[in-house]
Amino acid sequence: MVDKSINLLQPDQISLGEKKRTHLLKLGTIFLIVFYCLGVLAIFSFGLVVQREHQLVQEKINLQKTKLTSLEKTESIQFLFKQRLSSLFKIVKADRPMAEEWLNYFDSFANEGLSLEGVSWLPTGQVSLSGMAGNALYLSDFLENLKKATAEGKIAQSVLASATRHAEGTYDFSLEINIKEINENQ
Amino acid sequence: MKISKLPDLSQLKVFLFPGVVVVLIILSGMLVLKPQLTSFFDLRKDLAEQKKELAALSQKVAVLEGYDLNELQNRANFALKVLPAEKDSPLVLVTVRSLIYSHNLILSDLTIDVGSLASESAEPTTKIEEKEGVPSFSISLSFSGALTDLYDFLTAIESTLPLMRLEELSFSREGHSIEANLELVSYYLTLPQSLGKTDRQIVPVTSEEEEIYLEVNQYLSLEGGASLPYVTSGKENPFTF
Repeated sequence: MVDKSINLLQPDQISLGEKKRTHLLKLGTIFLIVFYCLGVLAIFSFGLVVQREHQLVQEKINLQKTKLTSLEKTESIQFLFKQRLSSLFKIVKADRPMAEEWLNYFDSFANEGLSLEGVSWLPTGQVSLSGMAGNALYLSDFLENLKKATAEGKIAQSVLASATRHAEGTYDFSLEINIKEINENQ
Repeated sequence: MKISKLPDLSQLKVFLFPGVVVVLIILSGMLVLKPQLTSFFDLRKDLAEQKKELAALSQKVAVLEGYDLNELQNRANFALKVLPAEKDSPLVLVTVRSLIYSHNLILSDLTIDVGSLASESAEPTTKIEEKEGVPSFSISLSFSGALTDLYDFLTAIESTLPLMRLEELSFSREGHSIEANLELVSYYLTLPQSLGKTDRQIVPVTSEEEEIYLEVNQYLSLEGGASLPYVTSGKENPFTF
């Protein structure tokens, strides 16, 4: 007995698989074309939207520029005003000691036996004083007051540059003072 | 002789259509889509920059429209009186002289070191003197009078237009009388070189600067109330009575 059998359906089964594969390939290709077309369409349409927006923004910019042309005078004046104020700020706000205030302050140290005869003043706070004291006590009183002002921090430094005693007991003196705190006594 | 069997190309027929489609997609992608995408991204980038520019311009327009032109003009004119656009030595001379006399001081010498009087366009040949970073020129004067008048004068000179500041002071005194030498600096500032550019941002006036404006607004102006002394020169005109 022959136990071998012939499967006559086999070629049909292969053909069905091939057909399925062909169908899938065609379907996939169609989907690819559709997706590609959709992608292209999306890019082009989005590009058109962006281009339109670009034009609108450009129109708005042109409008603003036209407005700015009419506001050119205001801008120029504002710029000029701002320029002046910036420079004025530097000058007016600069910490400069007020000469009259400080010289009055030093005058208040002088007693009736001492007179300030010469003053030299710089806005940096360097002051040179020269004068005459009736005797050593008047001079030491004046120096003591300056020492107190130094201790209080109003004066950075006060140096007795010279003191000359005359035969009649009077003293000519000169001092170099550096002001520490700007306008502290105001 | 053995004859080799040719491959069965009919089996590859099914791949022909998808293959052609893929090739076409790649080709169109390279030739059409890529330039389109590049231009699209460039446009988007450009659009973002344009929007920034529009925002800046709109802000600038809004700020400028907020100003009252007349008031701004008045303020700028006053600022120009405080800080003139050029060395206004005649005005400084008149102002100092007027203040000296109004404070009962006796003027013995007055020198204004104007330096070079070049126009704005001319190339400066000498270095411009600056104090606090602002161009200036100096005025030296000698005078005599009372000590209290000197102090009042010092206060007045620093609160009178145009803006001046004390640079150096020395005096000798005898009782209440003084003989003083004084050096002042007067400031000026040339006009901005370029005005009204659309791409320039508006820098608003700060509150500190506004305070400064209010402070200098209190300064005294002698302009109009004082003039240079009239000095006759040459021969007298015989045809006038």
